[in-house]
Amino acid sequence: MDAAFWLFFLFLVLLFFGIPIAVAIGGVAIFMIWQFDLGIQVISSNFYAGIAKYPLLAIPFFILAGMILERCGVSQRLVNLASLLVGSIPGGLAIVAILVCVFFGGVSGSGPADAAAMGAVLIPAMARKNYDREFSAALIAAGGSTAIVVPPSIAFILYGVITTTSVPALFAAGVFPGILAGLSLILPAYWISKRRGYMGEERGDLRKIWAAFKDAFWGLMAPLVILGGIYGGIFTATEAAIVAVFYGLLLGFGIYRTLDLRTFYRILVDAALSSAVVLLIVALAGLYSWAGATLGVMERIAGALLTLSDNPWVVLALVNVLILLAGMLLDAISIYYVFLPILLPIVAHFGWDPLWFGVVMTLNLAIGQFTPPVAVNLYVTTNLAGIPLEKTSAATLPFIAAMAMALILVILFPSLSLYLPKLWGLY
Amino acid sequence: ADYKAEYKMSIVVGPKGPWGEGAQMFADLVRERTNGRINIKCYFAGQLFAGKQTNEFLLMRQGVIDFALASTINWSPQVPSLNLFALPFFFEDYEQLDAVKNGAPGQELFRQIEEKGVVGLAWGENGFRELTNRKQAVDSPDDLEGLKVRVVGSPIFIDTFRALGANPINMNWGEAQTAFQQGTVDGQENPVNAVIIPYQLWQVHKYISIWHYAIDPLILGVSKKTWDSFSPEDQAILKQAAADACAWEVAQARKGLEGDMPALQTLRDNGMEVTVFTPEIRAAFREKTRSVYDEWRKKIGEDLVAQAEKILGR
Amino acid sequence: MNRRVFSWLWNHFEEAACALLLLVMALIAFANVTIRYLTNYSFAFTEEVEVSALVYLTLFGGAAAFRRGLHLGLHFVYVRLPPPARRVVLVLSLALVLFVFGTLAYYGIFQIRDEMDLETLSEALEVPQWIYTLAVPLGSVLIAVRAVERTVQLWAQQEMKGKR
Ligand code: NA
Ligand code: NA
Repeated sequence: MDAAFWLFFLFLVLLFFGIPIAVAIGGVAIFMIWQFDLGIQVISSNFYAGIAKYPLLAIPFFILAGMILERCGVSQRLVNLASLLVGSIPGGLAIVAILVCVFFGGVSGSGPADAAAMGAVLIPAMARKNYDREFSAALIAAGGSTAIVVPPSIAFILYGVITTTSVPALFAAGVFPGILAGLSLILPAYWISKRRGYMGEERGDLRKIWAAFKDAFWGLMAPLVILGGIYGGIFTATEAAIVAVFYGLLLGFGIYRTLDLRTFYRILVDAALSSAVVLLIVALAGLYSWAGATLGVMERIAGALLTLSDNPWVVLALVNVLILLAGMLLDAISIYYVFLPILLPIVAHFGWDPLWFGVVMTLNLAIGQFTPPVAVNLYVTTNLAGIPLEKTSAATLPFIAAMAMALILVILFPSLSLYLPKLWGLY
Repeated sequence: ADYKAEYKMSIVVGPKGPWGEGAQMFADLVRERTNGRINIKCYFAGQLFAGKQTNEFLLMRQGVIDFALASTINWSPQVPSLNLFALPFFFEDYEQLDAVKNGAPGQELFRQIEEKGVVGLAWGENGFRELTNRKQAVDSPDDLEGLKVRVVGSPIFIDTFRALGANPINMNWGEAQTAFQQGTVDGQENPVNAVIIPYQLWQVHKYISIWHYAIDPLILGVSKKTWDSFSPEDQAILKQAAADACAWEVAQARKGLEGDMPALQTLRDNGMEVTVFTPEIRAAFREKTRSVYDEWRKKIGEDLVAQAEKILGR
Repeated sequence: MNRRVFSWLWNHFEEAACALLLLVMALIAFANVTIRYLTNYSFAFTEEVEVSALVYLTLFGGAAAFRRGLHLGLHFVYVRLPPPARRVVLVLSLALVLFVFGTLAYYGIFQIRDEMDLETLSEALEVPQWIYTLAVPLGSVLIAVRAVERTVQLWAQQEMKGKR
């Protein structure tokens, strides 16, 4: 039987039955390496080499930083301030939710983490204001997905590692597209709120705004600390992550005094376990793409895709549909490892910019994070809202459409992605 | 024994340039001369060992990788004697290098790697490693004081830069390029034809020192497990193909860098200030790195270094 | 040893080890940035320590995550299956975990043996490489043990009675 068939078919079947992604992708990889006699001894050394990479250190550090900042109360303070600023217009709380999701995306590198941090504060608050639960769950899942486009981003770290693209340059490239994706969500949020009569909050007076601003100030500074360091040439992405961790500790133990040692231990454990879940997939997916590449399967599929059309726009549209569909079913990490070996020869063939392509691909995956049936962010927010995931399908549609518009703009105008990296001399 | 339908050949770098093209040439020659009995596929850019270069030798020994055109630097964790070529300011020119690798020390090294499971077929070359930086012309041992230099991640290289008072940094090439652009790292060391010209390092570094502080030979090797499965006729064909491909590869790697080194003009044309070390300057640098030499002499093997010293007349 | 302490350790020692690893990694990395920023000096060896700790963290954390059922997967078919079919999937899943981490452990030991034979030293600190590689077989065995524990739990629990 053809290697390509087994590689994809086995993986899909195992996923379908709910086998953990890491086990499914690793099982198929090891089975293929063994069955096709590719040199089974390779699995141990390549598994190790798949994790032991300096840029990947940024993953546990950014996860840790995000959790510290969330649990020391930064989320609540951001919501307070944003409510006073824009809360008074119709659907005020919905717009606040989007803004703080994008803003917290500036310290968190993971969609579900952002959705969890913001959802914990906002979903109960929106319920109290009579927002439909499906609507708030869909909204915050969508808002949280911008965290993988707005830097820092675990997705960009993985894309950078796989394609050997500079991670700081990718981070810079994600700034405008991430903000654009966030802003695009405001249109449907406002429109739906107005139609359904979701009312705004009371308008805050200047004194209240100033007080809330002072209270949130150190939280507001967090993204600047992280990104300022990278763009000032002071830190690598990994160093920026570690600085963020200690900034969070300073806030939690020093300024806000909301952390204690017991909580800190829990945060360490949770961050370590979340990182392990991600990195175990990374290592085993690495074996999978090794098997695919060594068998020559990935090259052949890329070649086949190229024979479909010579027109770059047609192929680009095809590639986008492919990633978007994959994103509806699969998690972002496996998609990078399964699809990048296929897509990179195509990117090279048409001379597409790898930075721009990284942003386009990641935006697609961001959309995938809140499209049912498989949607990590929705999984988090529907749990918080206490509703079944399936019931949110309709509620997600306007947000999918809005972010697809943002995606099209990012595709059509590469300078949205490339302007900052060039300006900052990262590219 | 049965032949495999396809044999895997590992190359750390991409398909362009002498190193990659030399490997491809070997694969093509072998296919042609064995009438397709031995079909070698080249895997470039370190694909076979997932980016961890120091695993290459291990995987060859296990038979996962059949062939490799490999840098001695990447095999040195398993074969410490290969650090002979990284002894600071040891080889002055190509004649000296050729005399050592074609003489008794070269044969001894091939014997050692074979003992560890890899058969050496021929010597290739990546080139003398030269220093570029953005700060100042380096022509005396004190000029490196405090300079941040990206160095290939091998202990002897790090020791050498420490001894020179520099601050060696070990980072992957992708990150290093960003660091050069931002100026967070001041310099790097690599061969001219293989890296400095193709990566246009003049865009980030104004100064280059042609100091020949270490040489980076390549070894075209084959896993002993694979080697033993070939018939004696095919083994002879492989040896000849390796010799032919490597002769071409070495000539390419040295192109423009012999005699009065016309390749350096390319660097000057792009605005680089080129400093070519005189024997006196080299002597001063050798003096300053003496401690590294003495320490690594033991790790490499006293006998082997003594043999090489004898050939060089030291 | 006190029985409660022992049972806490049995249940949580990977978590405690991970917390400690992450804390140490963070401290080393922070020290490195601070010293580099203040003195322009950086340590080449810290990268090796942190990256090796990351491998241990992944495998030990992976084991704890198996115990708690934190690994990502698609559940919408699974939760709709009748209990007997779930049991089949559960057993299949465990078999696959044992296959993946069993082979990893086996070839990990293989690699360690090679590294000992060749007396391979690490790049920066020049300590025996197998100390780092040991994470693979050790962690894989832990993961297998935790996966068995979790499966036994699920087999006995409410999942199989069709409630979720
Ligand atoms: Na982010
Ligand atoms: Na999805």
